[in-house]
Amino acid sequence: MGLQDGRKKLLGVRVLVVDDDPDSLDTACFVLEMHGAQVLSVASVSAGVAAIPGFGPDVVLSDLCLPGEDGYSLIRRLRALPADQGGRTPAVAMTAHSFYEDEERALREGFQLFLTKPMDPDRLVERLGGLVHRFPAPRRDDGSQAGPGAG
Amino acid sequence: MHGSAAPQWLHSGRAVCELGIRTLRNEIDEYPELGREPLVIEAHTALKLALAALDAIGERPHAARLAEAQAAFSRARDAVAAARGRIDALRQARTG
Repeated sequence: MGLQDGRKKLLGVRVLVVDDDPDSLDTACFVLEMHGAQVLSVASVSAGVAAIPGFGPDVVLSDLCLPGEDGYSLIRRLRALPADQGGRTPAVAMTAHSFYEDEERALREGFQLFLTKPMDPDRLVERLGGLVHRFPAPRRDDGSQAGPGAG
Repeated sequence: MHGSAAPQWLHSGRAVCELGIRTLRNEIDEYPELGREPLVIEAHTALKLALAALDAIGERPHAARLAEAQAAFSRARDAVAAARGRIDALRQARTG
């Protein structure tokens, strides 16, 4: 997928980014915004879960290693939500640990994708763009179509 | 940079700036008039400056250089956001 394709696929897509490291947060938000995504960044699981109803993300991108509640807790709390409240929102795990067991556990817990740090921006755009099109966001309560191609 | 001086941030930051430059070039290829847009030119310059600031850190990070790189990266992010607004407006005008 080319850059233009990636941009088109992320244009208007709402991405919730959860990472306690400001540097990682900055770079992820930068590359996603560059490709037209609407990004909300938070530093903790509790803030991420609290943001879901109002922000209505099309996809969640979360670090696994977070202080207190970790990324696995986030995905469990996300998947416990009813579908119409975001419970089926596709989610991407990011971590500096690239062991097979980490990936296997992340996917088993409910993430759709597993990406390793340091972040490869091309790969992030390509994989995220593909994911939101495989899991299109449901129609929102206000009648608007969330996700790519909206508006 | 927020004080962590993490090598992975340097790697990712550099990759993001390179991607930003390529993205702007692709946009200009598609819409050549963007090459004369001040916001796009500023964004391109800011990305190159951020890249240079990241490169200046080298293998022996120094607090002042890290702070410079952080500031340059933030400026690039703001500049790209401003340019993106212009690009999206042009794209929308063209596509209806």
